Amino acid sequence: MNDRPNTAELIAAARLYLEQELIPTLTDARLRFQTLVAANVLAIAERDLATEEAHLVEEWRQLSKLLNLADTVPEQLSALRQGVLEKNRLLRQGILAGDFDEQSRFLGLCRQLRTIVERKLEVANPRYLAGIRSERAARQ
Amino acid sequence: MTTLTEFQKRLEHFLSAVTGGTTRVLAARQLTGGASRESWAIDVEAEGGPEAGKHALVLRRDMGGTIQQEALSREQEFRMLTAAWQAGVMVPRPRWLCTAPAVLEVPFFLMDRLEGESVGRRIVREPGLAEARRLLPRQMGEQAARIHKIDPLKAGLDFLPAPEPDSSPAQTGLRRAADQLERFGEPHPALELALRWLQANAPNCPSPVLVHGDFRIGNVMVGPDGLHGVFDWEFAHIGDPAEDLAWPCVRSWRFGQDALRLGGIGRREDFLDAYVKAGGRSIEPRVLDYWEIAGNFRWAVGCIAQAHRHLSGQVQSVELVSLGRRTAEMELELLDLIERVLVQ
Repeated sequence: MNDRPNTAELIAAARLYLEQELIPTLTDARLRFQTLVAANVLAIAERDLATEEAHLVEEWRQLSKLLNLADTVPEQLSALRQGVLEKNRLLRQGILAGDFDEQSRFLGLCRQLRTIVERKLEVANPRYLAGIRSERAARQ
Repeated sequence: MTTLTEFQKRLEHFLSAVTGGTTRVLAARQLTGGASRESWAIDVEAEGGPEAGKHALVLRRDMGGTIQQEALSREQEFRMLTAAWQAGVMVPRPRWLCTAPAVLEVPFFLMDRLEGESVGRRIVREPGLAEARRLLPRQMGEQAARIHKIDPLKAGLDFLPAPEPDSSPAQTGLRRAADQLERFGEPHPALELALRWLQANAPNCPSPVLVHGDFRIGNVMVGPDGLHGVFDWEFAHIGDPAEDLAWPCVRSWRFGQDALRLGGIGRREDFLDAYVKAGGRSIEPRVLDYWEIAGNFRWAVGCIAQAHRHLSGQVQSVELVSLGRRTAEMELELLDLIERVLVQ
């Protein structure tokens, strides 16, 4: 096994360097913007590392149910990744074949997919997701 | 050609020929860059001749990389810009087109440089642009009406992409986006589901018009007095006018001011009222809502495409690759908007 810092700690250290030491010195607008993007990319990677396995397990279970499959969640992360990818492929085929065209099935899938997409946004942009959720709550 | 001075020298030679007076390049600054095209801010001074004096210009040129699907070439964009200028649309004045390889090796054109702010994030937020934001919806509505009145055949714009025969503009646009999505070889069930709905509900458009194709905050130059010009005409095509009216309402193009449906700056109603008053067609809200959903689909596919330009090695850009993680924002918006239409 590798020594500490672990992967998440490495990424966090690089991100903090960019945010706290480098970016405040940058005056060129384009360079500053690109570096902010790079720091944000590292933040996404950190969140991804922290949540990937748990999120894949939940997605596996949801997709299995949607596809009427009775398979067990694999232990190994690589098998989990591959398995969820394959389920997404199957779901895609079903959608394009018209399996979810009927309105109640369509809406049901919509709602399931929303949960999955929100999980992606928790990693990619949690602030954006929080904004969408407040807006949705205000609409009720 | 490798050095900036070589670039300047060749440009000066070209400009001296077209201005009819010895012309010097005073300054050259790159504005944007990419795999397929570049923009430069060029300041020149012509001594003598009909164009004597200083000119603030923008140079747009092809880089020879893979041209994005459906984007106009520099020569076509110049001709489109000229037609828009002649039709009284507020655009940068097109000046000179050069297709001779001896000059800068690739086709390029020069146009007058617009002054103002074009960055979406700033337009929606700057306190100094509050009055501009008040004026913009009406101004944008008027410009959209003028754009849609341009007769493409009379203006010599026969190269513009058009809907496939026996296909609506909506269906044609969907087919192109769907083909692009499929080529990436990644499953996106939220996008595939949205595609089913979009295909099943595509509106007809018996009289398509010339549409800008990327009409939004981000492609307009804005000053304290409002609109200074509409630029970036490379996605112009023949299509459904509703496409141009809905695209600036897509949530991504509100730059964080999501409550203001028109580009984060104002109300959709003010924009549409001005459009109709300026002679534009009255469009059903249902059709506009459709095109906003279609716009989210198009931009979702666009994000994946941009990420792939980096992932395939075509470009090196942390900014472009990070767009791949923004696709989910459009997926969520698609699911929300479609669900709301279905449970209405």
